[in-house]
Amino acid sequence: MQRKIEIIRRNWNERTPIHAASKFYDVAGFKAGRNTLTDIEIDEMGTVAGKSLLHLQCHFGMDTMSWARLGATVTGVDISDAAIELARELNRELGLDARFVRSNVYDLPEVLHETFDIVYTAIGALCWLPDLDAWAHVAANHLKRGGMLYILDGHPTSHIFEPVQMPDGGQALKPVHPYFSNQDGIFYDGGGCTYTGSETIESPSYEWQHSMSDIVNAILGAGLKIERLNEFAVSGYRAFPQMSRHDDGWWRLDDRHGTIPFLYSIKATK
Amino acid sequence: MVELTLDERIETIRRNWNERTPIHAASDMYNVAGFKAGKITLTDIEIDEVGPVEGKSLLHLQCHFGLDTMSWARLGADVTGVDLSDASIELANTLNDELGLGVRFIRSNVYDLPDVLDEQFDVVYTAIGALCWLPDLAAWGRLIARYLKPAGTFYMLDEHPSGRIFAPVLTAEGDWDLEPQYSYFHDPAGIFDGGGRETYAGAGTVNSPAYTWQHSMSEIVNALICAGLKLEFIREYPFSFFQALPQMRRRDDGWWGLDEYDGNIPFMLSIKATL
Repeated sequence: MQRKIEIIRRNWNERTPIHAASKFYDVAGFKAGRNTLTDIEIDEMGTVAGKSLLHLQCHFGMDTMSWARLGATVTGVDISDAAIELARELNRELGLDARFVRSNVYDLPEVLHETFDIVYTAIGALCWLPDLDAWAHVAANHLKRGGMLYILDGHPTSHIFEPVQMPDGGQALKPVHPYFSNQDGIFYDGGGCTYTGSETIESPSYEWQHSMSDIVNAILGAGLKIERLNEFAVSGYRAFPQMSRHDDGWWRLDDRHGTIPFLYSIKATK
Repeated sequence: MVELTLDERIETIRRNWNERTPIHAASDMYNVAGFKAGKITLTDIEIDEVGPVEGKSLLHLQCHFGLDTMSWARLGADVTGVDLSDASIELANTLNDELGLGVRFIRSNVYDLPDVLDEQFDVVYTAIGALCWLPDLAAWGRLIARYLKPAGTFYMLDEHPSGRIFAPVLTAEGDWDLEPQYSYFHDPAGIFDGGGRETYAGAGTVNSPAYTWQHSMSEIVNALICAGLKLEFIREYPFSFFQALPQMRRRDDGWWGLDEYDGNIPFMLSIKATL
Protein backbone atom coordinates (compact mmCIF):
# COMPACT_ATOMS: atom_id res chain seq x y z
CA MET A 1 0.00 0.00 0.00
CA GLN A 2 2.82 2.38 0.90
CA ARG A 3 4.33 1.69 -2.54
CA LYS A 4 1.09 2.59 -4.28
CA ILE A 5 0.79 5.83 -2.30
CA GLU A 6 4.36 6.75 -3.33
CA ILE A 7 3.46 6.08 -6.97
CA ILE A 8 0.48 8.44 -6.62
CA ARG A 9 2.71 11.09 -5.01
CA ARG A 10 5.09 11.00 -7.99
CA ASN A 11 2.14 11.09 -10.38
CA TRP A 12 0.76 14.25 -8.76
CA ASN A 13 4.21 15.83 -8.67
CA GLU A 14 4.30 15.41 -12.44
CA ARG A 15 0.74 16.66 -12.87
CA THR A 16 1.18 19.85 -10.85
CA PRO A 17 3.05 22.07 -13.35
CA ILE A 18 0.90 20.74 -16.21
CA HIS A 19 -2.31 21.52 -14.32
CA ALA A 20 -0.96 24.91 -13.21
CA ALA A 21 -0.41 25.86 -16.86
CA SER A 22 -3.82 24.61 -18.02
CA LYS A 23 -6.87 26.61 -19.01
CA PHE A 24 -8.89 24.25 -16.82
CA TYR A 25 -7.23 25.53 -13.64
CA ASP A 26 -6.84 29.12 -14.93
CA VAL A 27 -4.31 30.26 -12.32
CA ALA A 28 -4.20 33.78 -13.80
CA GLY A 29 -7.95 34.13 -13.28
CA PHE A 30 -7.58 32.89 -9.72
CA LYS A 31 -4.83 35.42 -9.04
CA ALA A 32 -7.13 38.13 -10.39
CA GLY A 33 -9.73 37.20 -7.76
CA ARG A 34 -11.74 34.36 -9.31
CA ASN A 35 -13.40 32.04 -6.78
CA THR A 36 -12.80 28.46 -7.97
CA LEU A 37 -15.54 26.84 -5.87
CA THR A 38 -18.71 25.58 -7.51
CA ASP A 39 -22.17 26.96 -6.81
CA ILE A 40 -23.11 23.55 -5.33
CA GLU A 41 -20.35 23.70 -2.72
CA ILE A 42 -20.91 27.32 -1.80
CA ASP A 43 -24.65 26.75 -1.43
CA GLU A 44 -24.43 23.47 0.50
CA MET A 45 -21.54 24.40 2.80
CA GLY A 46 -23.28 27.57 3.95
CA THR A 47 -21.45 30.44 5.60
CA VAL A 48 -17.80 29.71 6.39
CA ALA A 49 -16.74 33.15 7.64
CA GLY A 50 -14.89 32.84 10.93
CA LYS A 51 -14.82 29.02 10.74
CA SER A 52 -11.75 26.80 10.73
CA LEU A 53 -11.61 24.53 7.68
CA LEU A 54 -9.38 21.58 6.83
CA HIS A 55 -9.18 20.74 3.12
CA LEU A 56 -8.03 17.17 2.52
CA GLN A 57 -6.36 16.35 -0.84
CA CYS A 58 -6.19 20.04 -1.77
CA HIS A 59 -3.87 19.77 -4.84
CA PHE A 60 -2.24 23.22 -5.27
CA GLY A 61 -4.83 24.91 -3.13
CA MET A 62 -7.02 27.16 -5.29
CA ASP A 63 -10.23 25.80 -3.73
CA THR A 64 -8.61 25.99 -0.29
CA MET A 65 -7.67 29.64 -0.82
CA SER A 66 -11.11 30.35 -2.27
CA TRP A 67 -12.59 29.32 1.10
CA ALA A 68 -10.06 31.69 2.72
CA ARG A 69 -11.32 34.46 0.46
CA LEU A 70 -14.83 33.67 1.78
CA GLY A 71 -13.61 34.24 5.32
CA ALA A 72 -12.63 30.78 6.59
CA THR A 73 -9.35 30.07 8.39
CA VAL A 74 -8.03 27.30 6.17
CA THR A 75 -5.50 24.48 6.22
CA GLY A 76 -4.87 22.53 3.02
CA VAL A 77 -3.26 19.10 2.91
CA ASP A 78 -1.91 17.31 -0.13
CA ILE A 79 0.31 14.33 -0.89
CA SER A 80 2.28 16.11 -3.63
CA ASP A 81 5.44 18.11 -2.82
CA ALA A 82 5.12 20.15 -6.02
CA ALA A 83 1.46 20.94 -5.33
CA ILE A 84 2.11 22.14 -1.77
CA GLU A 85 5.11 24.20 -2.93
CA LEU A 86 2.97 25.93 -5.57
CA ALA A 87 0.09 26.40 -3.09
CA ARG A 88 2.44 28.17 -0.64
CA GLU A 89 3.82 30.36 -3.43
CA LEU A 90 0.34 31.45 -4.52
CA ASN A 91 -0.68 32.03 -0.90
CA ARG A 92 2.35 34.29 -0.34
CA GLU A 93 1.88 36.16 -3.59
CA LEU A 94 -1.80 36.82 -2.88
CA GLY A 95 -1.29 37.63 0.80
CA LEU A 96 -3.81 35.03 1.96
CA ASP A 97 -3.32 33.34 5.32
CA ALA A 98 -3.90 29.71 4.27
CA ARG A 99 -1.63 27.08 5.79
CA PHE A 100 -0.47 24.16 3.64
CA VAL A 101 0.78 20.80 4.90
CA ARG A 102 2.42 18.11 2.77
CA SER A 103 1.11 14.74 3.89
CA ASN A 104 -0.90 11.87 2.59
CA VAL A 105 -4.31 11.63 4.28
CA TYR A 106 -3.45 8.56 6.33
CA ASP A 107 -0.31 10.03 7.92
CA LEU A 108 -1.95 13.37 8.73
CA PRO A 109 -2.59 12.67 12.45
CA GLU A 110 1.23 12.40 12.85
CA VAL A 111 1.83 15.97 11.65
CA LEU A 112 -1.41 17.81 12.47
CA HIS A 113 -2.91 17.80 15.96
CA GLU A 114 -5.88 20.12 15.65
CA THR A 115 -9.62 19.90 15.21
CA PHE A 116 -11.68 22.00 12.81
CA ASP A 117 -15.23 23.27 12.34
CA ILE A 118 -15.25 21.86 8.83
CA VAL A 119 -13.40 19.05 7.04
CA TYR A 120 -13.88 19.45 3.30
CA THR A 121 -12.99 17.43 0.24
CA ALA A 122 -13.62 18.41 -3.37
CA ILE A 123 -14.28 16.71 -6.72
CA GLY A 124 -11.81 14.01 -7.75
CA ALA A 125 -10.43 13.12 -4.33
CA LEU A 126 -11.72 9.76 -3.08
CA CYS A 127 -10.59 7.76 -6.14
CA TRP A 128 -6.98 8.26 -4.97
CA LEU A 129 -7.64 6.64 -1.59
CA PRO A 130 -7.23 2.90 -1.10
CA ASP A 131 -8.96 2.74 2.30
CA LEU A 132 -12.12 4.75 3.02
CA ASP A 133 -12.58 3.49 6.58
CA ALA A 134 -9.18 4.90 7.56
CA TRP A 135 -9.94 8.11 5.62
CA ALA A 136 -13.23 8.65 7.49
CA HIS A 137 -11.48 8.10 10.82
CA VAL A 138 -8.88 10.75 9.92
CA ALA A 139 -11.66 13.16 8.92
CA ALA A 140 -13.60 12.50 12.14
CA ASN A 141 -10.42 12.76 14.20
CA HIS A 142 -9.84 16.31 12.88
CA LEU A 143 -13.44 17.47 13.46
CA LYS A 144 -14.61 19.40 16.51
CA ARG A 145 -17.71 18.04 18.25
CA GLY A 146 -20.63 19.38 16.19
CA GLY A 147 -18.28 19.98 13.25
CA MET A 148 -19.18 19.09 9.67
CA LEU A 149 -17.62 16.81 7.05
CA TYR A 150 -18.54 17.90 3.54
CA ILE A 151 -17.72 15.99 0.33
CA LEU A 152 -18.50 16.75 -3.28
CA ASP A 153 -17.14 14.07 -5.62
CA GLY A 154 -17.69 11.95 -8.71
CA HIS A 155 -20.65 9.58 -8.43
CA PRO A 156 -19.66 5.88 -8.43
CA THR A 157 -22.42 5.07 -10.93
CA SER A 158 -20.87 7.43 -13.50
CA HIS A 159 -17.55 5.56 -13.20
CA ILE A 160 -18.93 2.33 -14.66
CA PHE A 161 -19.37 3.75 -18.17
CA GLU A 162 -17.06 3.85 -21.15
CA PRO A 163 -17.92 5.63 -24.40
CA VAL A 164 -18.08 3.26 -27.37
CA GLN A 165 -18.08 4.24 -31.04
CA MET A 166 -21.07 2.64 -32.78
CA PRO A 167 -21.00 1.37 -36.41
CA ASP A 168 -23.53 4.09 -37.35
CA GLY A 169 -21.10 6.76 -36.14
CA GLY A 170 -23.01 7.47 -32.93
CA GLN A 171 -21.58 7.23 -29.43
CA ALA A 172 -22.94 4.75 -26.90
CA LEU A 173 -22.15 4.37 -23.21
CA LYS A 174 -21.46 0.85 -21.99
CA PRO A 175 -21.27 -0.30 -18.34
CA VAL A 176 -17.84 -1.92 -18.68
CA HIS A 177 -16.23 -1.00 -15.32
CA PRO A 178 -17.03 -2.50 -11.90
CA TYR A 179 -19.34 -0.52 -9.64
CA PHE A 180 -18.11 -2.22 -6.51
CA SER A 181 -14.93 -1.42 -4.61
CA ASN A 182 -11.76 -3.34 -5.40
CA GLN A 183 -9.08 -3.32 -2.70
CA ASP A 184 -6.19 -3.67 -5.15
CA GLY A 185 -7.20 -0.62 -7.14
CA ILE A 186 -6.87 -0.09 -10.88
CA PHE A 187 -3.35 0.39 -12.25
CA TYR A 188 -2.75 2.98 -14.97
CA ASP A 189 0.67 2.68 -16.56
CA GLY A 190 0.99 6.32 -17.59
CA GLY A 191 1.15 7.95 -21.00
CA GLY A 192 -2.52 8.98 -20.83
CA CYS A 193 -4.04 12.45 -20.92
CA THR A 194 -4.78 14.30 -17.73
CA TYR A 195 -8.34 15.53 -17.20
CA THR A 196 -7.39 19.15 -17.82
CA GLY A 197 -6.71 18.63 -21.50
CA SER A 198 -4.46 16.86 -23.96
CA GLU A 199 -1.17 16.92 -22.01
CA THR A 200 0.32 13.51 -21.25
CA ILE A 201 1.21 12.25 -17.77
CA GLU A 202 4.06 9.75 -18.05
CA SER A 203 4.02 8.46 -14.44
CA PRO A 204 1.85 5.48 -13.61
CA SER A 205 -0.87 5.66 -10.99
CA TYR A 206 -3.47 3.73 -9.07
CA GLU A 207 -7.11 4.61 -8.60
CA TRP A 208 -9.81 3.01 -6.51
CA GLN A 209 -13.53 2.76 -7.19
CA HIS A 210 -15.71 3.22 -4.10
CA SER A 211 -19.39 2.29 -4.15
CA MET A 212 -21.91 4.63 -2.58
CA SER A 213 -22.55 2.16 0.23
CA ASP A 214 -18.82 1.93 1.03
CA ILE A 215 -18.57 5.74 1.16
CA VAL A 216 -21.66 6.08 3.36
CA ASN A 217 -20.72 3.16 5.63
CA ALA A 218 -17.17 4.48 6.09
CA ILE A 219 -18.56 7.81 7.30
CA LEU A 220 -21.08 6.10 9.61
CA GLY A 221 -18.35 3.76 10.87
CA ALA A 222 -16.27 6.74 11.98
CA GLY A 223 -19.14 7.78 14.25
CA LEU A 224 -20.43 10.64 12.09
CA LYS A 225 -24.12 11.27 11.45
CA ILE A 226 -25.14 11.73 7.82
CA GLU A 227 -27.29 14.84 7.50
CA ARG A 228 -27.78 14.93 3.73
CA LEU A 229 -26.91 12.99 0.57
CA ASN A 230 -27.46 14.77 -2.73
CA GLU A 231 -26.90 13.62 -6.33
CA PHE A 232 -26.44 15.70 -9.46
CA ALA A 233 -26.82 15.04 -13.20
CA VAL A 234 -23.90 17.35 -14.05
CA SER A 235 -20.14 16.79 -14.13
CA GLY A 236 -17.22 19.07 -13.32
CA TYR A 237 -15.28 17.88 -16.37
CA ARG A 238 -15.85 16.24 -19.73
CA ALA A 239 -16.28 12.68 -18.50
CA PHE A 240 -17.47 11.49 -21.94
CA PRO A 241 -17.00 12.89 -25.45
CA GLN A 242 -20.76 13.32 -25.88
CA MET A 243 -20.90 15.86 -23.02
CA SER A 244 -21.03 19.60 -23.57
CA ARG A 245 -20.26 22.49 -21.28
CA HIS A 246 -23.19 24.73 -20.43
CA ASP A 247 -23.27 28.42 -19.49
CA ASP A 248 -23.28 27.51 -15.78
CA GLY A 249 -19.87 25.82 -16.22
CA TRP A 250 -21.17 22.26 -15.66
CA TRP A 251 -20.85 19.47 -18.22
CA ARG A 252 -24.01 17.64 -19.28
CA LEU A 253 -24.89 14.55 -21.32
CA ASP A 254 -27.17 16.33 -23.74
CA ASP A 255 -28.77 13.38 -25.49
CA ARG A 256 -29.61 11.59 -22.24
CA HIS A 257 -29.43 14.19 -19.51
CA GLY A 258 -30.59 12.83 -16.15
CA THR A 259 -29.93 9.16 -16.87
CA ILE A 260 -26.60 9.14 -15.03
CA PRO A 261 -25.71 10.84 -11.74
CA PHE A 262 -22.23 12.38 -12.15
CA LEU A 263 -21.74 13.99 -8.74
CA TYR A 264 -22.86 13.40 -5.19
CA SER A 265 -22.43 15.41 -2.03
CA ILE A 266 -22.56 14.31 1.59
CA LYS A 267 -22.90 16.40 4.70
CA ALA A 268 -22.17 14.64 7.99
CA THR A 269 -21.69 15.91 11.52
CA LYS A 270 -19.70 14.74 14.54
CA MET B 1 -54.55 12.44 -22.37
CA VAL B 2 -56.27 13.72 -19.23
CA GLU B 3 -53.85 14.14 -16.34
CA LEU B 4 -54.91 12.09 -13.34
CA THR B 5 -54.72 13.45 -9.80
CA LEU B 6 -52.49 11.66 -7.32
CA ASP B 7 -55.52 10.05 -5.68
CA GLU B 8 -56.71 8.80 -9.07
CA ARG B 9 -53.27 7.37 -9.77
CA ILE B 10 -53.26 5.57 -6.45
CA GLU B 11 -56.70 4.16 -7.36
CA THR B 12 -55.25 3.06 -10.72
CA ILE B 13 -52.47 1.24 -8.87
CA ARG B 14 -55.01 -0.36 -6.53
CA ARG B 15 -56.97 -1.78 -9.47
CA ASN B 16 -53.73 -2.96 -11.08
CA TRP B 17 -52.74 -4.88 -7.94
CA ASN B 18 -56.23 -6.29 -7.57
CA GLU B 19 -55.80 -7.76 -11.04
CA ARG B 20 -52.26 -8.96 -10.29
CA THR B 21 -53.14 -10.78 -7.08
CA PRO B 22 -54.74 -13.99 -8.48
CA ILE B 23 -52.11 -14.12 -11.27
CA HIS B 24 -49.27 -13.86 -8.75
CA ALA B 25 -50.97 -16.31 -6.38
CA ALA B 26 -50.98 -18.92 -9.16
CA SER B 27 -47.35 -18.30 -10.22
CA ASP B 28 -44.26 -20.44 -9.63
CA MET B 29 -42.47 -17.32 -8.43
CA TYR B 30 -44.78 -16.88 -5.44
CA ASN B 31 -45.13 -20.67 -4.90
CA VAL B 32 -48.09 -20.49 -2.51
CA ALA B 33 -48.17 -24.29 -2.10
CA GLY B 34 -44.55 -24.22 -0.89
CA PHE B 35 -45.41 -21.45 1.54
CA LYS B 36 -48.36 -23.41 2.89
CA ALA B 37 -46.01 -26.35 3.40
CA GLY B 38 -43.86 -24.21 5.70
CA LYS B 39 -41.43 -22.32 3.44
CA ILE B 40 -39.96 -19.00 4.61
CA THR B 41 -40.16 -16.65 1.62
CA LEU B 42 -37.69 -14.08 2.99
CA THR B 43 -34.25 -13.86 1.42
CA ASP B 44 -31.01 -14.63 3.28
CA ILE B 45 -30.10 -10.96 2.94
CA GLU B 46 -33.20 -9.80 4.79
CA ILE B 47 -33.01 -12.41 7.54
CA ASP B 48 -29.34 -11.62 8.12
CA GLU B 49 -29.63 -7.84 7.98
CA VAL B 50 -32.86 -7.43 9.98
CA GLY B 51 -31.50 -9.76 12.68
CA PRO B 52 -33.56 -11.68 15.25
CA VAL B 53 -37.24 -10.65 15.29
CA GLU B 54 -38.56 -13.07 17.91
CA GLY B 55 -40.93 -11.28 20.26
CA LYS B 56 -40.71 -8.03 18.29
CA SER B 57 -43.63 -6.15 16.80
CA LEU B 58 -43.17 -5.64 13.05
CA LEU B 59 -45.12 -3.50 10.58
CA HIS B 60 -44.79 -4.58 6.93
CA LEU B 61 -45.69 -1.78 4.52
CA GLN B 62 -46.88 -2.71 0.99
CA CYS B 63 -47.12 -6.39 1.92
CA HIS B 64 -49.00 -7.67 -1.19
CA PHE B 65 -50.72 -10.93 -0.13
CA GLY B 66 -48.50 -11.36 2.87
CA LEU B 67 -46.14 -14.31 2.28
CA ASP B 68 -43.14 -12.31 3.54
CA THR B 69 -45.25 -10.84 6.37
CA MET B 70 -46.32 -14.31 7.53
CA SER B 71 -42.73 -15.55 7.14
CA TRP B 72 -41.66 -12.98 9.77
CA ALA B 73 -44.47 -14.38 11.95
CA ARG B 74 -43.02 -17.86 11.46
CA LEU B 75 -39.69 -16.44 12.70
CA GLY B 76 -41.42 -15.28 15.88
CA ALA B 77 -42.40 -11.66 15.21
CA ASP B 78 -45.78 -10.17 16.07
CA VAL B 79 -46.68 -8.81 12.64
CA THR B 80 -49.07 -6.43 10.92
CA GLY B 81 -49.20 -6.26 7.12
CA VAL B 82 -50.61 -3.37 5.12
CA ASP B 83 -51.43 -3.31 1.43
CA LEU B 84 -53.33 -1.16 -1.02
CA SER B 85 -55.04 -4.03 -2.81
CA ASP B 86 -58.37 -5.46 -1.63
CA ALA B 87 -57.72 -8.79 -3.36
CA SER B 88 -54.27 -9.06 -1.78
CA ILE B 89 -55.50 -8.43 1.75
CA GLU B 90 -58.41 -10.84 1.24
CA LEU B 91 -56.01 -13.59 0.12
CA ALA B 92 -53.58 -12.76 2.94
CA ASN B 93 -56.39 -13.13 5.48
CA THR B 94 -57.47 -16.46 3.93
CA LEU B 95 -53.92 -17.86 4.09
CA ASN B 96 -53.42 -16.54 7.62
CA ASP B 97 -56.68 -18.20 8.80
CA GLU B 98 -55.81 -21.45 7.06
CA LEU B 99 -52.30 -21.55 8.55
CA GLY B 100 -53.25 -20.13 11.97
CA LEU B 101 -50.37 -17.64 12.03
CA GLY B 102 -52.03 -14.87 14.03
CA VAL B 103 -51.06 -12.06 11.64
CA ARG B 104 -53.15 -8.90 11.27
CA PHE B 105 -53.72 -7.52 7.76
CA ILE B 106 -55.01 -4.04 6.97
CA ARG B 107 -56.15 -2.73 3.61
CA SER B 108 -54.87 0.80 3.19
CA ASN B 109 -52.55 2.75 0.99
CA VAL B 110 -49.39 3.83 2.82
CA TYR B 111 -50.33 7.49 3.03
CA ASP B 112 -53.79 6.90 4.57
CA LEU B 113 -52.57 4.41 7.16
CA PRO B 114 -52.75 6.86 10.11
CA ASP B 115 -56.55 6.97 9.56
CA VAL B 116 -56.84 3.29 10.44
CA LEU B 117 -53.78 2.34 12.52
CA ASP B 118 -52.54 4.09 15.66
CA GLU B 119 -49.68 2.05 17.13
CA GLN B 120 -45.91 1.92 17.22
CA PHE B 121 -43.64 -0.96 16.28
CA ASP B 122 -40.14 -2.28 17.01
CA VAL B 123 -39.52 -2.83 13.30
CA VAL B 124 -40.96 -1.22 10.18
CA TYR B 125 -40.08 -3.29 7.11
CA THR B 126 -40.49 -2.98 3.38
CA ALA B 127 -39.49 -5.58 0.79
CA ILE B 128 -38.38 -5.76 -2.80
CA GLY B 129 -40.46 -3.93 -5.40
CA ALA B 130 -42.25 -1.52 -3.09
CA LEU B 131 -40.84 1.99 -3.49
CA CYS B 132 -41.53 2.36 -7.20
CA TRP B 133 -45.28 2.38 -6.41
CA LEU B 134 -44.97 5.43 -4.14
CA PRO B 135 -45.23 8.95 -5.59
CA ASP B 136 -43.90 10.78 -2.52
CA LEU B 137 -41.02 9.51 -0.39
CA ALA B 138 -40.88 12.49 2.00
CA ALA B 139 -44.38 11.60 3.29
CA TRP B 140 -43.37 7.91 3.33
CA GLY B 141 -40.34 8.73 5.52
CA ARG B 142 -42.48 10.68 7.98
CA LEU B 143 -44.91 7.77 8.11
CA ILE B 144 -42.12 5.34 8.99
CA ALA B 145 -40.97 7.63 11.82
CA ARG B 146 -44.58 7.88 13.04
CA TYR B 147 -44.90 4.10 13.31
CA LEU B 148 -41.53 3.37 14.96
CA LYS B 149 -41.08 3.10 18.71
CA PRO B 150 -38.16 5.14 20.08
CA ALA B 151 -34.95 3.35 19.01
CA GLY B 152 -37.04 1.20 16.63
CA THR B 153 -35.52 -0.13 13.40
CA PHE B 154 -36.49 0.56 9.81
CA TYR B 155 -35.27 -1.90 7.19
CA MET B 156 -35.77 -2.01 3.44
CA LEU B 157 -34.50 -4.16 0.58
CA ASP B 158 -35.46 -2.92 -2.87
CA GLU B 159 -34.33 -2.27 -6.42
CA HIS B 160 -31.25 -0.04 -6.74
CA PRO B 161 -32.01 3.18 -8.63
CA SER B 162 -28.84 2.77 -10.73
CA GLY B 163 -30.08 -0.63 -11.92
CA ARG B 164 -33.26 1.00 -13.22
CA ILE B 165 -31.65 3.36 -15.75
CA PHE B 166 -30.81 0.59 -18.24
CA ALA B 167 -32.80 -0.50 -21.27
CA PRO B 168 -31.99 -3.70 -23.14
CA VAL B 169 -30.99 -2.97 -26.74
CA LEU B 170 -30.45 -5.41 -29.59
CA THR B 171 -27.11 -5.18 -31.38
CA ALA B 172 -26.71 -5.53 -35.16
CA GLU B 173 -25.60 -9.14 -34.50
CA GLY B 174 -28.84 -9.86 -32.66
CA ASP B 175 -27.27 -9.92 -29.17
CA TRP B 176 -28.58 -8.10 -26.15
CA ASP B 177 -26.72 -5.08 -24.92
CA LEU B 178 -27.46 -2.39 -22.35
CA GLU B 179 -27.88 1.35 -22.65
CA PRO B 180 -28.56 3.97 -19.97
CA GLN B 181 -31.88 5.36 -21.22
CA TYR B 182 -34.16 5.97 -18.23
CA SER B 183 -33.95 8.79 -15.75
CA TYR B 184 -31.95 8.15 -12.59
CA PHE B 185 -33.72 11.02 -10.88
CA HIS B 186 -37.27 11.33 -9.62
CA ASP B 187 -39.94 12.79 -11.87
CA PRO B 188 -43.17 13.60 -9.98
CA ALA B 189 -45.14 12.86 -13.17
CA GLY B 190 -44.19 9.20 -12.83
CA ILE B 191 -43.95 6.59 -15.56
CA PHE B 192 -47.23 5.47 -17.13
CA ASP B 193 -47.66 1.83 -18.06
CA GLY B 194 -50.66 1.27 -20.32
CA GLY B 195 -51.06 -2.34 -19.23
CA GLY B 196 -51.19 -5.47 -21.35
CA ARG B 197 -47.73 -6.59 -20.26
CA GLU B 198 -46.63 -9.76 -18.58
CA THR B 199 -46.16 -9.35 -14.83
CA TYR B 200 -42.72 -9.86 -13.29
CA ALA B 201 -43.90 -13.14 -11.77
CA GLY B 202 -44.00 -14.43 -15.36
CA ALA B 203 -47.41 -16.07 -15.11
CA GLY B 204 -49.83 -13.95 -17.10
CA THR B 205 -50.76 -10.59 -18.50
CA VAL B 206 -51.90 -7.65 -16.41
CA ASN B 207 -54.27 -5.53 -18.49
CA SER B 208 -54.84 -2.64 -16.08
CA PRO B 209 -52.68 0.44 -16.47
CA ALA B 210 -50.35 1.58 -13.70
CA TYR B 211 -48.00 4.33 -12.62
CA THR B 212 -44.56 3.88 -11.15
CA TRP B 213 -41.99 6.38 -9.91
CA GLN B 214 -38.20 6.35 -9.95
CA HIS B 215 -36.48 7.33 -6.70
CA SER B 216 -32.77 8.14 -6.56
CA MET B 217 -30.54 6.91 -3.74
CA SER B 218 -30.34 10.43 -2.31
CA GLU B 219 -34.12 10.84 -2.38
CA ILE B 220 -34.59 7.59 -0.42
CA VAL B 221 -31.84 8.42 2.09
CA ASN B 222 -32.97 12.02 2.60
CA ALA B 223 -36.61 10.96 3.09
CA LEU B 224 -35.48 8.86 6.05
CA ILE B 225 -32.98 11.38 7.45
CA CYS B 226 -35.43 14.29 7.19
CA ALA B 227 -38.02 12.25 9.08
CA GLY B 228 -35.54 11.97 11.97
CA LEU B 229 -34.10 8.50 11.32
CA LYS B 230 -30.40 7.80 11.71
CA LEU B 231 -28.68 5.64 9.06
CA GLU B 232 -27.08 2.42 10.29
CA PHE B 233 -25.90 1.14 6.93
CA ILE B 234 -26.51 0.99 3.20
CA ARG B 235 -25.65 -2.15 1.23
CA GLU B 236 -25.66 -2.68 -2.53
CA TYR B 237 -25.88 -5.92 -4.52
CA PRO B 238 -24.94 -6.76 -8.14
CA PHE B 239 -27.94 -9.05 -8.64
CA SER B 240 -31.72 -8.82 -8.78
CA PHE B 241 -34.72 -10.71 -7.38
CA PHE B 242 -36.29 -10.95 -10.83
CA GLN B 243 -35.29 -10.96 -14.47
CA ALA B 244 -34.96 -7.19 -14.70
CA LEU B 245 -33.23 -7.44 -18.10
CA PRO B 246 -33.56 -10.15 -20.77
CA GLN B 247 -29.84 -10.98 -20.60
CA MET B 248 -30.10 -11.87 -16.90
CA ARG B 249 -29.71 -15.47 -15.88
CA ARG B 250 -30.89 -17.12 -12.70
CA ARG B 251 -27.90 -18.10 -10.60
CA ASP B 252 -27.57 -21.19 -8.43
CA ASP B 253 -28.37 -19.10 -5.33
CA GLY B 254 -31.71 -17.99 -6.83
CA TRP B 255 -30.73 -14.38 -7.61
CA TRP B 256 -30.76 -13.04 -11.16
CA GLY B 257 -27.42 -11.76 -12.46
CA LEU B 258 -25.66 -10.60 -15.61
CA ASP B 259 -22.93 -12.64 -17.31
CA GLU B 260 -21.49 -9.79 -19.36
CA TYR B 261 -21.05 -6.69 -17.17
CA ASP B 262 -21.43 -8.77 -13.97
CA GLY B 263 -20.47 -6.61 -10.98
CA ASN B 264 -20.75 -3.37 -12.93
CA ILE B 265 -24.32 -2.51 -12.01
CA PRO B 266 -25.90 -2.52 -8.56
CA PHE B 267 -29.40 -4.00 -8.86
CA MET B 268 -30.49 -4.06 -5.22
CA LEU B 269 -30.12 -1.79 -2.25
CA SER B 270 -30.76 -2.32 1.45
CA ILE B 271 -30.94 0.33 4.14
CA LYS B 272 -31.15 -0.01 7.90
CA ALA B 273 -31.95 3.04 10.00
CA THR B 274 -33.07 3.69 13.55
CA LEU B 275 -35.26 6.30 15.14
